[in-house]
Order: sequence, then C-alpha cells, then structure tokens
Amino acid sequence: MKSDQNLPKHSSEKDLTPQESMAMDALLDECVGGKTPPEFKEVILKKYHHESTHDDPIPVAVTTVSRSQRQSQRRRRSRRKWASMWGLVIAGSLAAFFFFRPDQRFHQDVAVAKTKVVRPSDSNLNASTPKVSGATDALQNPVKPSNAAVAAELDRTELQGIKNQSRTLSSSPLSISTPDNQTPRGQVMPTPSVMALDEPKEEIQDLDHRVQTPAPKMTPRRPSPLKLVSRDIESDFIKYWKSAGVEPTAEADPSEVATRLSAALGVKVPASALSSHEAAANWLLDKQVGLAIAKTWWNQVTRGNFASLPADAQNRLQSGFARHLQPNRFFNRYLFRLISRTDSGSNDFYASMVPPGSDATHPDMIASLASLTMNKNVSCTRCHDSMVGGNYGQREYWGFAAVIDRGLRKASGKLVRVENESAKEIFYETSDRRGEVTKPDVPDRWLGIESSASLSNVRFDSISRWSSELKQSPILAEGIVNSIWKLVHGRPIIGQAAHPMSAPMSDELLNVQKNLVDDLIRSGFDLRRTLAIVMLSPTNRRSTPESLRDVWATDQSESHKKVVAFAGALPTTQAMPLLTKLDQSMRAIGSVMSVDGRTLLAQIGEDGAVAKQRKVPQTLAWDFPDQADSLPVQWLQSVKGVDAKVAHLCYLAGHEQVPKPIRHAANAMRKAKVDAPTLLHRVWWMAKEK
Amino acid sequence: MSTSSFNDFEQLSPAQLIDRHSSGVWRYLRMLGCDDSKADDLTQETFLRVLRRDTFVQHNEAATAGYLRRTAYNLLVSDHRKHSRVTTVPDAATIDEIWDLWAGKDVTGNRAIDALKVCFSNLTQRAQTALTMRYKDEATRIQIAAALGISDHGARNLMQRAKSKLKICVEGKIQDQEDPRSKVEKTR
Repeated sequence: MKSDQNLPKHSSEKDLTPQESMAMDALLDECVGGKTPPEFKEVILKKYHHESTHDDPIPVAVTTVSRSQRQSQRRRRSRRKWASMWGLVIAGSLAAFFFFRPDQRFHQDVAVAKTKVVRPSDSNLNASTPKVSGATDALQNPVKPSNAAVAAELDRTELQGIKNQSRTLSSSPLSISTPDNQTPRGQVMPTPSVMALDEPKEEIQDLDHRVQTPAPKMTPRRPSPLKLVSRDIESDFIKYWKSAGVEPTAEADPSEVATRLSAALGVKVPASALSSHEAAANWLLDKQVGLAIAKTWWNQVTRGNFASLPADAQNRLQSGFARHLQPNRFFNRYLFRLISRTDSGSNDFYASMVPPGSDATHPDMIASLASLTMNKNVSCTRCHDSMVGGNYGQREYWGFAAVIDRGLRKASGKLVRVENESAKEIFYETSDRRGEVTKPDVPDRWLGIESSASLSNVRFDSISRWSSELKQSPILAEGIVNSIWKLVHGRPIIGQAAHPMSAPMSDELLNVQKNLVDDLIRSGFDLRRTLAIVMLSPTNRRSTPESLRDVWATDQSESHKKVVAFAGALPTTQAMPLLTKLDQSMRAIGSVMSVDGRTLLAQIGEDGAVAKQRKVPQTLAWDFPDQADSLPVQWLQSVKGVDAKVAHLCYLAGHEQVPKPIRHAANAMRKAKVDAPTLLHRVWWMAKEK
Repeated sequence: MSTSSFNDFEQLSPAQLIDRHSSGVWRYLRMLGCDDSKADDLTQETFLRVLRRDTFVQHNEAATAGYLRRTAYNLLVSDHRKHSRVTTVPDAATIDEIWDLWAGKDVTGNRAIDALKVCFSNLTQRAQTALTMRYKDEATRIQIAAALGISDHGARNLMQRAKSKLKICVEGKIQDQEDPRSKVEKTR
C-alpha cells in the first residue's frame, strides 16, 4: 500500500486556511460522516402558515419594489413611536387612577406588602436553639413568617403549589414575586417586599415611603425544596451535555470528590458531608469551615489581592463572609453595605481589590467589581472595545472606572472614601492611540436594565447610586452565583467569551445559571444553600477522563471537550509555581533557563537574589502542552504578531503586562522554532495562574 | 428598476423556495462552523425571516441564494452575540469566496458534494481510512495514528495533506463543470 504521509508536498498543494479547513470539515462531515441536510419544507411551512394561511408566490408586486427600504424603516419607526406613545398614555392613566383613587383593596395590598418585611430577628423569635438538625429546616425554610396574615396567604399559595406540582411542600417564602402566569420563572422583579428584605433597619422609613407608589400585586413565592432545585439543575445538565455532544464521565468515588473539593475550598471536606444536601449544609455551619472557605472566596474574587491585606483586615472580611454562611443571613445586604461604603469593612473591601499602593482605577479593581457585582467580564475593554462576546465597549469600561474613581481616592498609599466629589471626566487612550474622555456612568445594560425601560435622566454616576440600583438587581445574584460556582469548579458557569476554558454556551447552561440565581434570590441570598447545591451538583461528581493526560492541548479530543463542558473533572493537582512551569517549558525545547543557565532562574520574582537552589521536578506536568493544533482561543487569530498574542494571553490571565520570565521563555521558544499554537498554549499554561 | 427584470424570472412559492435553497443555506451554515442542530435551527429561521419580509424580491436565483446566505450569516452572528459564544464567525467575504469556488453556480451545493465523493475515492487507502475514522467514527487523532501504525504527527500530516488534495480536486471539478472550455484546454 502506498504511504503518503511523508511524501513531499506538491507545489500546488498549500495548507488550508482556517476558513477553508472549517468548510472542508463540513463537507467531509456530510460526504463521509453522513450528516446530510434534513428535509426542511414541512417544518418551515408549518411555522410560516401559522401566520399566513396561503402558500401564494411571494409578493413581488410593483408596489413592494417601489417602496424603498428607507421608507419602510421610517414607517416601522413611526408605528413603533405611536405604539410607545399609546403605551405610555395607558400606563400613565392607570398610574393616575391607582394613585388618586382611595381604593380599599390597594391599601390592603400595601399593608400586606409591609407585613411581608420578614427580618432575621423576627424569624429567630420562633426559632429553637441552633441545633444541627434545625439547620436543614433553616436551609429549606430560610425564614419563618411571624405574621398570621402572611402565613395564611402563604398557606393558600402552598396549597395551590401542591395542586399544581403534586409535591408536599412545607415552608415559607423568603422573597416575593409575581405569579407564574404573570412573570416567567427566574425573572424576579424588584418588589417592595424584596426591597424590604434587603433594607438595613435604618432604611425602613425610606421603604415605607416607597411602597406608596403603585406596584403590581405580588403573590408570595418561596424557594423550592433543595432537592427540587438540585434535580432541575441535574436535568438541565443532562440536556446540556446532550446538546454539546459529550457523554459525561462516570460518577467519581465520594472520597475523590471530597479530595477535589478540599483543594478547591481550601479546607478538608469529609466524604460524609457529600452524602446529601442537608449534610453539606450542616457541615458548612462550622465556623472554622466558614472562615477557611471565606479566605479562599475572597482570594478568588479579588484576584489574589486579598492576601496582601493586613491580617486584621483579612480577619474582618473573612468573618463577614463566614457569618453569612449561618442561617438567616442575607448576603446581598452585606455586599451592598461593603460596596456602598456604609460597612466598617468597606475600606478593607476596596483595599482588597487592588495590589497595595494602587489607585482606584487599577485593572484588578474594575475587573473584580464588574465580575462580582454585575457578572461582567471586562478584561478586554480596558484597552479596546470587546471583539468577542458581551459586546462591551471601552467607553463603558472607563465610565464605570470613573464612578469608582469618583468615590475613592488614594491617600497615604491607601484608598479612602470620598464624599460629594463632583463628577469629573476621565481620560483614556484608545487602541489607535487617540485620547478619549468620558463621564462617570455605569451602563444600564451592565445592571440588566433594558434600554427601553431605562429613564434617560437617571445616571448611575456615583458609587451610592450604582450600589442602590445593584441591591435590587438580579444581576448581583448572577455575580454571586458565578463566584460560588467558580469557587467550586475553578471557573464560572457562563464563562468569559474570551477564555480558553469557557464551557460552550447553550440555553441549557443558561437555565442552570437562571435556576441558581432564582433560587438564591428566593432564599433571601442564602449563601450556604447555594454553596450546598453547587457542591453536590452533578458536575462536581464526575470522574476524571482516563485519556485526559495524554491528549491535553494536543487535540480537540472527547476528553478535552468533556472537561470543558463540565462533564468530566480535571485531575486534582496543586498549583505549580511559575518558576517550575518556566523550567518545564524550557526543558521541553532542550534548553536551560537562559544562556547562562541559572541566572534567569535566580531573577524570577526576587531580583536576582535567590540564595537557595530549588529542587525542580524532573517529569513534565500532566497538563503541559506538548503539542497543540490550534490556538488556545480562536480570537487570537485577529491579533497580529506573536508578541501581541502573548501579551493578550497575559492580560487575559490578569497580568498588567507580560511577566519578564514569560517573555524570555516565549523568545526562547521562537528561536527554537516552536510553532505558534504550541508556543501560545505554553504561554497560557504559564500565565494562567496569576 | 423596471418590473420586467424580475418578472422574467420565475417567482417561486415558499415551498419551492425552501426546496430549492434549503440545502445550500444549511451547507453554508455548516461551513461557517455550525453543528447540525444549530444549522437546522438557523436554516429554518432564515427562511422564516425572508418569507415574512415584505421587501423580499426574487430577482434571480443567484441573488436569492446570496440574500439567503447573508441573512443566515447575520442570524449566526446575532446568535453568537446573544449567547456570548467563544467561537468567532469567519468573515462573510472569505466564506463566500470559498463557497463560490466550491459550489460555483449551484445554489444547493450538491455538485460540491458529488465532486468531493469522486475526489475522495481517488485518495490513497490510508488517507481514506484516516478521514473515515475521523469524520464517520469521530476517532481522535491518537486513535487514527494507532490504527495506521504511524505517529500522532504523521496522522495529522496525512489528513491535512488529504484535505488539501481534496480541495484542489473539488475546485478543479467545479471549474470544469462551470467552464467546459478549460477542460478542453487541459486535455490539449
């Protein structure tokens, strides 16, 4: 048989471009793999005839042609304008009607809304002494209503729920939303009662004033039982894996899962804690466990800057987080106080977001705050408009940075709170070196506000306005849920579009996030409940694919896909220092650290003052990218030059600039003729753990 | 524009339009990197969008096909933005150029598939085995290498080389079909 693998290339034979390769793959999938186009006629016509009952030739009359596109758009705009105006008139009439009419029923609704202000202190009146077994009840029934009217109303809802779902339910609501037939599930509207839950005591007066405004009638909703939420998430993941075309790995041994979780949470997790949600929740009640998890969480959300805080500041923040793993604690309130600078730990909070001595617009500050509070990935937009995913702009980034800068100033090397500072414009440089200027403003869409719903005169141009809006926004719950998911899984559910390890997006994955966010809001931001659900999620019980070690980064293998789609686990390994990774990268090209051997080794991080020679492991790490076919992320194709690609990967990993050792290693690999995909995979491998 | 220019062209009913163009749109979406299910969804959406558009005019077959492809492309970009997907969509002009080279004037893409089948059968047995394992059995490169008794790199080179040959072969066949004179010149 003729072997053609090593035949010299024919002169006319050129490598396919990525686009050609993709197109050829599609044709071969059809020609060889048998994936042929299905029959569309029936299904499209069925949908089409749903609107039109005639299968006439498409109208191509002169009148259609003579109408220019511009006229058509203008007509549409005009129609839209009229519709909007009519909508406003009707809404205004209704508002006026409710406002002026002394309607008995409306007052009753407001009264009920007021009684729904359930506070932890109230609920504790009926609570027994904190027993471990009681914690489960608290988890499933986070707050007991003290008001008989509310309880009666809850009972009615509960009965309805039992009729609808044929499930035995016994608990009370934490948050209120509109009935199912009025509001889609998961779309939680800020309501008087929800606001009330979030208010500190001193703001109740303010709330009373606010509830005078007409609001839609709310029916109490309570969090679903834990097992139900968990089952929904499991079911969504099964659908997700199916849609992503991956088969999940077998369930891992509980001890293996416990070991993996121990590494993730920074505290030893007993296998018994993973036997049920209740067991996990009970385990999380332990204060020492809470403090240990708090440390890991703070380190994660602050990109490691938490570790550079003084010990007392670390303790304050750790205690604050750990307190909110106890029953009847509302984590959103705590975060709101920290962000709005009304908590004693606020200065520590903002200081933890940046390296020591940095100012308020440091990239870590903006990226960490945007991620934690609004679930936004803004890692690209500091320098240019986002090209992939999210579609965020550089102007928006700097608008948000200006808001933070307006409320914080550096004094004696520390960030301190500034009050009544006038809104100043902030300057920034665009990617083509032009100077631009923008005013402080958090974009509406960052806060989940639809442009049509936003009021043109409302600007979130200060920390207090931004945090007030945030407090009532489900977007904060999204940020918290993703931070918890990242704590356990090492990356958020809905990954950054620009990140190499982001799970492929699909509606099922969005459903998982929605379920978790919905549950967190309904439970009154019960952090322990969410953490217990995530710890026992089906993704966390997966075993490591057998072949993962052999094929990592060399191919888009099944094992690789499984891990990326949460259908398989990564092996538990300890983080490897940059020094070791650098050494392995150099040894892979048959070189030492630099021309003079240890000199470069000694320079790393210690300004050439390393006295003790470290012992470097001889075997390559399991995930060392030996050979790569494609770039770590496809968008790198649009970046010109290897140096720029290396820089982008380092920015993506959270570095402000390319670390010197990585730059040296990249140069050495280029000299050794390492191909670009492999080089960039190795750079990412070195840079990713900042 | 005079009405006669498009009245000369036979106006297709929705059913005829779908029959004629759905395969082409679906294949185009697959070439843009969509998987089967995404291509299915977007093909349906493309036709529904176009059929519901009162400004849609069938000037000629090529224009209709181009319009459908552009609609499909825009829907894909919107879909990526909506879901913040990681994968980037290839540039429309680039993929259109590839489509024109491989499908030519055939709006369905059937000729490209037929040409590919012929070209595939002309490959060496080992190349056929490698590509069959890859696209039919979804084997990894390591599995292919093991089956053929070659290295991982060897398998990759083998498949890349085979795909390059297929590309040249398909383009040649399409060109011959579009312009029979070139075939005559070649034979001379």
